[in-house]
Amino acid sequence: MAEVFVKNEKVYKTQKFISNLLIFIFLGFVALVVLVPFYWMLLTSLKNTTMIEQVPPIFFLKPADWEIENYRSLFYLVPSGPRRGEPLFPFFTYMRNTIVVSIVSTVGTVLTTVLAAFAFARLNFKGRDVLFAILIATMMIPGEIFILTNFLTINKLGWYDIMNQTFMDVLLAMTLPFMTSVFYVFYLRQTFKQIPNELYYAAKVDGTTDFQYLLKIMIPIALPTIITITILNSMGAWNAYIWPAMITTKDEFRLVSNGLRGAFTDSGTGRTDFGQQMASAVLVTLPLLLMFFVFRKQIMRGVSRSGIKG
Amino acid sequence: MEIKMVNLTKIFTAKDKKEVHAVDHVDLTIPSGKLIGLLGPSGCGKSTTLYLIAGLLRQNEGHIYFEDDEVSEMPPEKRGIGLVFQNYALYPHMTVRENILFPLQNLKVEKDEAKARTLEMAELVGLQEMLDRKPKELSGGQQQRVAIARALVKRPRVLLLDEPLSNLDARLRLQTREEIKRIQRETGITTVFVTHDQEEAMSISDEIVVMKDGVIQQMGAPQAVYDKPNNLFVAKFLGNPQINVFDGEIRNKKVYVNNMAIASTKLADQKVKVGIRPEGFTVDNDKTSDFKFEINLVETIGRDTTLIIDIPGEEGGLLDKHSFKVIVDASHKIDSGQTVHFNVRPEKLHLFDLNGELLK
Amino acid sequence: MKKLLIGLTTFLFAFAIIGCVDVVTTETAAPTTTAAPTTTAAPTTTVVTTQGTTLPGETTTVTEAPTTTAAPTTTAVPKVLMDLPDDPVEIVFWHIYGVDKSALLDTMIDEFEAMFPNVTITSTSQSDYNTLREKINLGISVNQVPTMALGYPDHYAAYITANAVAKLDTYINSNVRYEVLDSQSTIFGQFVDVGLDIEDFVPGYLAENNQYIGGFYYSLPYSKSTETMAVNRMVLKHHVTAIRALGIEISDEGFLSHDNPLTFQQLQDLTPILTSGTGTTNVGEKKCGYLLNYDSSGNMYINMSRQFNAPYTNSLGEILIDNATTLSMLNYINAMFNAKTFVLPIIWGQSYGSLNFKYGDVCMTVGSTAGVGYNIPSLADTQANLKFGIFDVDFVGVPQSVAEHNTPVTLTDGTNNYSFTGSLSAVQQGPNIGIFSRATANEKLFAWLFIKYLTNTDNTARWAMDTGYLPVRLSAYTSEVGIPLTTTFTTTYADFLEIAQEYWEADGIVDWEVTDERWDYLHSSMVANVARAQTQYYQYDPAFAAGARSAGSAQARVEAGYCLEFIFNKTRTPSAALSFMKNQLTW
Repeated sequence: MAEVFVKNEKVYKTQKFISNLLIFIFLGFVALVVLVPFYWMLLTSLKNTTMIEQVPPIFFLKPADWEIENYRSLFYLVPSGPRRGEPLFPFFTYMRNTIVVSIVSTVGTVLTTVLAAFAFARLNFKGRDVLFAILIATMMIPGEIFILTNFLTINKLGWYDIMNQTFMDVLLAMTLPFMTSVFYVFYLRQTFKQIPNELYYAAKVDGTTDFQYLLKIMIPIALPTIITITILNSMGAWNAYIWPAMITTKDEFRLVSNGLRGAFTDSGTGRTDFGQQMASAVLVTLPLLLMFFVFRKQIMRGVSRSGIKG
Repeated sequence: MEIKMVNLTKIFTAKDKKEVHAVDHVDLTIPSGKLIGLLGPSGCGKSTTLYLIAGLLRQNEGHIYFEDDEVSEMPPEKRGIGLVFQNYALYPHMTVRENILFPLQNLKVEKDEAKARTLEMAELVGLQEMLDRKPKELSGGQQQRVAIARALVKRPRVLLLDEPLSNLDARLRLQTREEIKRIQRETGITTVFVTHDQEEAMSISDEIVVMKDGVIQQMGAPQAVYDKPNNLFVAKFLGNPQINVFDGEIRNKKVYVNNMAIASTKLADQKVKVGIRPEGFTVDNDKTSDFKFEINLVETIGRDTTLIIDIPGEEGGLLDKHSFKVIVDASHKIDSGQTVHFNVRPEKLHLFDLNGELLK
Repeated sequence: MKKLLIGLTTFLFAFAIIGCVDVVTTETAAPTTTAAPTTTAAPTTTVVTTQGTTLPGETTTVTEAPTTTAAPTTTAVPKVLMDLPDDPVEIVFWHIYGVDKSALLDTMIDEFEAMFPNVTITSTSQSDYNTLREKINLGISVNQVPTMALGYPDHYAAYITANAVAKLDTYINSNVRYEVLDSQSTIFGQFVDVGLDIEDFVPGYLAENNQYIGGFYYSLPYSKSTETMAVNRMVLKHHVTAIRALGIEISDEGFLSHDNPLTFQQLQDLTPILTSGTGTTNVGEKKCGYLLNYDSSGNMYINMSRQFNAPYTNSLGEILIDNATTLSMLNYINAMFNAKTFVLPIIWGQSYGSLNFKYGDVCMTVGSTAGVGYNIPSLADTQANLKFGIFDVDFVGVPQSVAEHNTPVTLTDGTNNYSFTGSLSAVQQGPNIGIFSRATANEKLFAWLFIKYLTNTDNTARWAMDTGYLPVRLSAYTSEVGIPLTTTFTTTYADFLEIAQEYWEADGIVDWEVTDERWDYLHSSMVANVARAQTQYYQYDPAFAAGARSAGSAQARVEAGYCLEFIFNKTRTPSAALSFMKNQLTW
């Protein structure tokens, strides 16, 4: 096995090159898989209807062939009716709703998650472990089952009133049922559990109450996990479709996800104007991408760190 | 600040409903301004005692006084104590400065004063250069010093140290214990310091308290306790190498081990446990002594020679081992295989009854 | 970085808070619409008389608002005059229209609200029919349904079962006449009839809307469409002589008859002339790969079962497909698939055949009237793919089994004969509109008046021309009221129909300016004319909810489509496909 060790520089370099090449090809392939949907969205948003339907599909488009109309038409103003003067696709309204709902739902979720995880990780009370086991067991029930019961509850609470639903009703209806997540509680509890008891004692001696300890010590230490939860939850809120569609009665309360789905489908033929739909999808994605680029470091750190902690 | 514990008892209930008396009716007074080492094997209740003083645990019975104040029911932050943990328990997300400042913020100390005190503490522990580092960027010894600074910054009445040196490597341990000693001297604070390492306790404590099974065995200056152990447990717990214990007998005012007379005594005839410190043996060059053994192994380190002597259990009369150690001056030329006659220094010889209590 | 983070979070929060405030304000501001309608419902002949001197029932003085179609002959029924309620009324109208159609709908709502200032109509799109239906079905259980909603007959069948829909007959037959006393109203002092001249609706649509238990109207037709056939006139024109030799009526310029649709027999005869036989287009000989594409295989099955008189379903919800005629029909369709006479768009990997029609892969295509524009090749198409370049498209009726209703016919594929009694039939589709019974009497009244307004002669014509749907009223075809389609182009529906008529009469050779706006509406006009001819033999698909023993009508339509696709794909033989379908639909 001598040749394993006796390797001349040239052989070593070639091997290194080949392995690097393979790694880059693999990474390139993965990047492609990730990027293609985005590219396709952008491409479709620049195609006219026939280009979109064409088989085999068009993979590249000269700037001269771009159908900018898809974008321009989104900002045509409604000529009449209650939405007179607003853009045809109420992009800003939908965006604002989505952002408000995401923020409220995420703030609420993080709040309940932190408090519950703290209780399960740190506080001693009767039946804690049984309660936690029951909570964990509920994770096995698929979320769709709750739609009907949630709907009935929301209705009982008076938040689904077709005649006069307010934005506050919608906001509560969309966020409240999802402000607790057993999975996040479990996830954060595990992180909290890893914080040594001595830290708690030290903080006690240093004069903190339980709540201050949570605020000043546990939350900062578990911040990567909390950031991960925040990201996951905002993504969930951003992508939610069925429930928001169920619970909103007016157009101006819609989320972007629902708006995108319905706005461009021709009711007569059932055909969707994919060009316009994708153009608005691009507009919707843009803020998210910008957010990601701005917070790239934080997000990556949050995800990777908590990933290692597992 | 004198700490007085009266009838202090802490009972833990295990999962199988068995009650464990971790601290069992302890009466103890810790004199003001002294560094006290609370010593014992693991599970002896020393940490529990510390936590009771700190207020992190609540006693089932008894009272604790700081000077004349009863603090028995006070929460930890009201007692005016500083506590240092074995694993330092520094807040990992805060810098050294923030860690030291943290107790002051909770006490709502004025900002300028808090800053000044933080600096003062950093200087005291010699970390003024490290103030803006995070704990993980410091060595273990430095972290321990931060922990001490954090404990002292609020000017506590009592400083409590829970195994402060166990997580350090040997060299740092020596260094840090000197540091602790120095800091305690400079501040003059009453300090209680828990350890299972007798050498550590003896080297820095003004007084040591030896505990076993929640009961205090003996308290006193380290050397006094070493020299005059109250019982076999204390005798065995202090000293390295450990004291050698033989099954012996007193007959006609003489102490016999394995039918070899080794010393005289005033005590009445009875079976006894004979404890002899390894350094309590002297070589009888005249070979007149009755007390002789064949040497199995000789280790010479520096000025001391350690002789290791094997005794078959049945005939040896050695209490609980099959070999024991003797430390003699290196000037003696002794080879293994040789039979050596010993004399015993009377002050290094302790006689205990069969229950382990010192015979006087 | 920290600062940036804080800054952005603050910004987002600020945005969120502003968002909340904004919504609240727009909500309170919303109902203050004062804009005058662009078209008034008042006919030009109206004489507005002073109040008190007019006796109810005198037709000359009655402004037929919102219905302008009430014929003078209906005055035989004495009217009961009442004051129109003027308490504030809120109406919630659920539909599924996207941004384009909502705009015109909102215009009509504005006009209606100007006529009845006490009424506020909130029209909301619920994205798609499934969501709409689900929300209403769920809402029925908790008493949260809109005042009125769009819906397919099978949706209404389910709502009716749940006892949630208002019967419209009481309004249709009402003899109440309201006087508009609100001085803010654009029809102040005029009269509003509750009753409706139901006879003016296209009979085929009406049949669909009173098919329910008891024969009552629970809904009225609203956005209706049918199927027509687009043909590649360039290819037809090239083969005029050969086509004439078959005895098929065709003009020099390649226009087929717009009154008499082609028969299946004629399609079979045309196949060797118009198709290459290989499945691929022969550009030189001007032959397509396939003759006729059906966009919707479900419609194809259902309509052909009518044309073959092959039992399918009935309004009791019975699945009747297990019969010899149906099997014979499927065998015939299979033979036509094999002969490349019929084709389904799945062969090109598409949901619709319009793209491949434009490409020249197929000579004719049957599709919804609402999708006319998709069939017209234009400069927007990638030129290289248009095998025949940009060609002229003509529209004719969907092919029929026979030329005359209820005549026996025998078709052959060369080996087997298919004998049956043929019928004329064309599908009619599209949602209807109805009112939920939960609403208060006033809400229902104004919802009804709104339905009347939406479906009145002018508005149904306007809706039709603007959206590609068809008028639901017979009078719309002859309406003389001009409707502005663009800022520069105003037309009556009759004139709109005239566009295609003139074009056809000139055999496609017209001297219109290039800028003539009639060009923009030529194809819509063609389709409207064809559809009008087809109204005579509209057949509706019985609507029923899923029962204990069988699936609902919507599911039946889906399975019917699959059945033909299986046969087309050769994954199942006609008899296997039929028994599979039967299995899927009954249990």
